[in-house]
Amino acid sequence: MDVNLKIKFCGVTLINPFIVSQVPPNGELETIKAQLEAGWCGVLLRTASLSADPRKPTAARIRQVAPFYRGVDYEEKRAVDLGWIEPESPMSVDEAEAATASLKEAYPDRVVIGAMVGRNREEWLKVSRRLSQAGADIIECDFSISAAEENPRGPRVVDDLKLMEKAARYVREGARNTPIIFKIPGMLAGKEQVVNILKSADAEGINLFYEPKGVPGINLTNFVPFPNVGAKSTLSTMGGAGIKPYTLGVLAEWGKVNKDLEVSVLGGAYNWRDCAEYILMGAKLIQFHGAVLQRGVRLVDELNSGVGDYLNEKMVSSLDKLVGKSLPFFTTPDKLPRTGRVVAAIDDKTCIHCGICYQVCEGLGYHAINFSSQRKPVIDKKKCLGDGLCVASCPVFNCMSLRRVSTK
Amino acid sequence: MGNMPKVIKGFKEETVTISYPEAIDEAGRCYLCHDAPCSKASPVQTDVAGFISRMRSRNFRGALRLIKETNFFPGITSRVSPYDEQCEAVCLHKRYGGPIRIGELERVLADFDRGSRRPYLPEIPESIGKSVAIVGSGPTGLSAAVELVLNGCKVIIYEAARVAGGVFTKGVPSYLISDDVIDHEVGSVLSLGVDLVTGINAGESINLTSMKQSFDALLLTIGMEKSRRLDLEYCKKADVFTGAEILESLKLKAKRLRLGEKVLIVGGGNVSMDAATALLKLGVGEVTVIYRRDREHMPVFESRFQMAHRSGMKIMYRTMLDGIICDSQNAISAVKLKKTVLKETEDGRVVAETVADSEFTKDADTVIYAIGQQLDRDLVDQFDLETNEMGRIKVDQATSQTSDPFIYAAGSCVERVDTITTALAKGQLVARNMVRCMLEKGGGR
Ligand code: SF4
Ligand code: SF4
Ligand code: SF4
Repeated sequence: MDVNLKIKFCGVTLINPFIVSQVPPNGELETIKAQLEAGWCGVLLRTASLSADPRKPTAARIRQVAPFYRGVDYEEKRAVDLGWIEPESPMSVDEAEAATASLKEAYPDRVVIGAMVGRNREEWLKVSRRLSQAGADIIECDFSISAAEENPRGPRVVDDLKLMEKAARYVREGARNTPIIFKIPGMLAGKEQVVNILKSADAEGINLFYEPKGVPGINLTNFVPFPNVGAKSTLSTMGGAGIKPYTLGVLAEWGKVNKDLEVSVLGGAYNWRDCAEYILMGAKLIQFHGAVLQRGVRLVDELNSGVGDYLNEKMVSSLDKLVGKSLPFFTTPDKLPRTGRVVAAIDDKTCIHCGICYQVCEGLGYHAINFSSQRKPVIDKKKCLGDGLCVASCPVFNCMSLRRVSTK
Repeated sequence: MGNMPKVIKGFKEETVTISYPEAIDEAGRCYLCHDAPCSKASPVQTDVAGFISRMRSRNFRGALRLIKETNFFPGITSRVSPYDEQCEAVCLHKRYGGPIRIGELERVLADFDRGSRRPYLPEIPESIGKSVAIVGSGPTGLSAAVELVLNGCKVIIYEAARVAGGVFTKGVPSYLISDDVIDHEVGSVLSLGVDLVTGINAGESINLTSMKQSFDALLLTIGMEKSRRLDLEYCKKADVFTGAEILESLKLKAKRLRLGEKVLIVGGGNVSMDAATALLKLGVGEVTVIYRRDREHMPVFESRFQMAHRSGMKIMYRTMLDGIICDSQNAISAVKLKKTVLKETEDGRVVAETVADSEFTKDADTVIYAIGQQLDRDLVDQFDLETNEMGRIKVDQATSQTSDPFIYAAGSCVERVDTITTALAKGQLVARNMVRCMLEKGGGR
């Protein structure tokens, strides 16, 4: 079957749904070009701001600390999560304009997403207008930033619905026909209202993300939390594979209230499976972060191949057909069916008799697994409650499963 | 002539310890099985899953402590004992990617401890007022000493050789294990407060009556000190050695050995393989091992066989030594060999019988017997101890006592002990038996 990963997002055709998010301190044109050469569907420029001094290049403005990344290890697995101290390094609008023009010329089949922030009418109107005129395919405006410039930790634009409504309209006005999406923190309350406001402002989409603040760890020798910046530390933004389940949850929650805005998602995706899951949960564009830092830009080959082969296997001809396919299965706890019974099952051929299933079932208190002196685990179907703990703990892939049993 | 005396310089240890990153990965592979079979297959019942799980969270000190609770000599055993035939052989990871390399992990921890500023030493409990003399400082004796001290006994060890350690210091070639490792782990026994008297011939210097006055018990862990030889006639100047002699002189580095260019080793055990490997490493031209039966009957660790094989050992199965031929200078010029056939006995053992008229000769200038060890009877006779039909000291299974209840015995002087880890287990067992019996006999003094 001939599959391709083309997908339409906010009226723009993407060659695939994978893009690299603004990775600090990325912003150099060379880095961006390398991403496009590798095969990502486009680029997301660094946030453009009127307050950035156009006479200084971005690199000179970056006031970054070192180190600002820190991986979180779990036993032998390195960097299952990644934390970083956010740099403060917006691009000047002049730079964004120049980058957009040169990228569009060199890579006409790729999309350029112009990212922007604003804090007043002038900024929202002007920046979006200039990005649109420079030829950006999509404009992403960040509403997760503080609404007051003098106080970067102050209330965010999204926290003030009136302000957000105004801002969305200004950006719409400024961007004219260029599609606009808004970057919104995924865990926000009042999702329905937000969706309605953005819809009434004629926004095309939202970019959802879940990047909580955290501390990656502490050096047990000298007690300094990570990352250690000259014997001081601060809160990091946490990303990486560990946040995927939360991000998937964010998509599910927004999927319940959002029917009209197209969805982009940022963070947590590490391989094609994560992408397939995000798409099934309603996303059409997946912004990569930690995975690209760790695996490099060639990661896109794996994503293309993985999602492509998956489509082939499922006999689905285009990616559009999968978008949101999992949402109907998602509901609230009170609506979960309470009838029917499942029990655990063991594939005797792959079981290596480690006894871990027995250990967890004993620990849990249902005592549903017999473990003989020959070390052969046998499920007692009468006692098993089908909670699935043993299935989660069995160290051998596809060895244990849950089976539905008929109840009369 | 090739057989000029050679000064033996010993070898550099060739055992490579895996790096920390590899060790962490390997520890991460372990399933941490419930009721793990690896621990049961360990002669000393080391809590393998327990130490590996500590290692995974980088608690090296805790992992080492857990190992040391059952095995005080992990640096030695992980270099010398065949883990691949013990705990690793039953590892449940075998099917998916091979067994966990438990020996390697133990060695990483042992080396970590040896290199650390505060090597592990357990706390010594309060005295129970018993004191024990041990004759022999091999693995069984040392391990019994540790167990006794950790049960509150006072221990003194008598060793006939100049240094403590028995087979550690005399019999294990230094390409397998360096003196540093042995010194550290044997030394740590002394750090527990065990007294050691070396260079003392127990048979001559120990008076049983005075012993009974000063000690609560005497433990014999004297091993099998005498090497067996075949009863063949040969000329005066012939170079005929035992495998143990060869290995010991390689270890002690002081002796000069006349080694020929065509060495024949009789026997198919670890000593034979080790001697062959060592001689080949020293540059001896040709080393041929003859064995009466087949490969699968050889009482040898696979790893040690492979080592000899890789070093270039030649081996002749179903062959036995029938005579030694000397030249006019009274040196060996050839050996007479005979072929054997294998027969199964009624009790299922396979024995070799010589084939009539199968005699042939082979050039050789040195003959080494590696056909096993036997009990040095001096002490046994002096103490008037009973022996069993295998020619070893007879003990009560339940108490480890010999025919004289004051005297206990354990290790290879009592029964067949195949590996050093097993010898350690025997030492622990006899120590526990002794503590129990001593306490039953009467409270502390
Ligand atoms: S946990 Fe899995 S592999 Fe282990 S005994 Fe149970 S079913 Fe077998
Ligand atoms: S599903 Fe739950 S109750 Fe059933 S065997 Fe597994 S752990 Fe036990
Ligand atoms: S059997 Fe193997 S996998 Fe299981 S606990 Fe022991 S070493 Fe680990």
